[in-house]
Amino acid sequence: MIDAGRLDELPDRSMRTLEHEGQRLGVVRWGDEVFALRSRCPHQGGPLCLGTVGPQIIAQAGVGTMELDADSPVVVCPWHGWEFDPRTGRAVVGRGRSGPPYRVQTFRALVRDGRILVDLDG
Amino acid sequence: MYRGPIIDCDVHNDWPSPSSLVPYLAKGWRELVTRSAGNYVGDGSKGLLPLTSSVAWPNPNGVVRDETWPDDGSLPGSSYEMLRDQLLDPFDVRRALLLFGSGMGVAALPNPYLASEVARAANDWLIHRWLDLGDERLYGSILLATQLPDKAAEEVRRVAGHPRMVQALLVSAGAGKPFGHPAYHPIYEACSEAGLPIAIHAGGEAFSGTNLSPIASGVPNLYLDYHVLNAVQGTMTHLVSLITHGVFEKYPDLKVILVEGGVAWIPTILWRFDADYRAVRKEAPWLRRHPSEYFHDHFRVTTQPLEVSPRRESLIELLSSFGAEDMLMFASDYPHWDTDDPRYVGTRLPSSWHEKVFHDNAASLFGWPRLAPEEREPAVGPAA
Repeated sequence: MIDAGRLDELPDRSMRTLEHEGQRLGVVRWGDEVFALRSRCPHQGGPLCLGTVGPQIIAQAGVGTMELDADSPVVVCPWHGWEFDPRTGRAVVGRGRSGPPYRVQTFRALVRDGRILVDLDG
Repeated sequence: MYRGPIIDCDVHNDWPSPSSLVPYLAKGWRELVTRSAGNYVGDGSKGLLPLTSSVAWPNPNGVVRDETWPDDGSLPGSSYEMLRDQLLDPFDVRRALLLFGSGMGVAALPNPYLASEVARAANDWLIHRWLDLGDERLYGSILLATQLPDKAAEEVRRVAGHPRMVQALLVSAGAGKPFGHPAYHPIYEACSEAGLPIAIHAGGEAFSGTNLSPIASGVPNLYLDYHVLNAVQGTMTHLVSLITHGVFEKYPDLKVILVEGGVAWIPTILWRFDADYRAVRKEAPWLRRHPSEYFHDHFRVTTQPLEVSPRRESLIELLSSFGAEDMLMFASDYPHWDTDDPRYVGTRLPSSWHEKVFHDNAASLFGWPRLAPEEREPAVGPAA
């Protein structure tokens, strides 16, 4: 487990990065939950967690509409705008008919005694 | 070697002259268009206003094959007997989709009300003069004046009940926007209700009167510029527009046939489209699948003009990359100058694709039963 800082110093719906033994990570706070993922976009190796985090934009009401899914955080790569779900690491846009299954590595993260802990083996 | 029947998805039948359409116009319109003392528009002749718009770039060789001109000077494609003797009989074309000739320019007429009336008249003319001939090989397209999409949707509903009018035909983007724009959605709603596919025939932006540049980045100067670029660029635009605007989310059963827009460029546009979709999905969150998936499930593409790659294998590799074996449908483009002979197309595509491309893919789309080969000499030549 590595210590990723105090939960109350990470604003809700935000992301911070940290480096551990040469590996850059991102930690996302979403309400009372925290998620950790590798800060390397599987597309071209961009610094994924220097991008933004926010709720996923959806169109529940059909073509031409736009709403937010507040329960679905999305990390957006600063290089090409690819979106990833920090809970699973999966790209929001799936693989399609024959594309590669783009996915970013995630780690188990938890809050203990007000501090965010990341299990790099989990 | 393919010995089976052919379905030809792009045959341009025409009226002998524009005046042939006059009896099919409503009385008021008939009066309006027949009292002209002459104009510097169209052929400038006295008596008849232009009923369609025309392409502004003339081919120095002509846009039709010379042997397709009837002896009486009527327009090429206007003679059923010639079409039968030059196309249907020699190549065992058992189903031919008629897409009009000069009528294709109707959606580029500046007057949207006249255009709607001409399209309506043209559809009645098609049924009366061609589909009532008794040749069971002929099928019609519902010509639409896209300037007024609500009127066009009415026309779909008016004609769709005819058993031999099997697709709606879009050519020029009469509302001045690509075909995915919601302005055109009433047409798609009507087609979905009727179970009709939409054929988008390339080149509509080149008709004078659209006020659209027929190619991106400026107006072409030579026919050569125009012909190399126009059909491809316009078709690309409509393809992308139909998908980004979520047409297939709104109308999940709708099928679109891209006619005469070329085929070899398709995989590269789809690669680009899928990659860009990953980047800016949030702008069109109503899309639930990759653009290439919508394309695969909702589009079909006609073969003509099949790109002439220096190496046959190069073309096949490109086509294979997007599953063209199950998406291509043969088209001759008779009687136009760049007509593809089915024997030639047969030599360019793998023989294992022939049944699908020459027949099965179109039969499946239109819900037609499989036709048995006739006892006859093969029309389509050898291929590897």
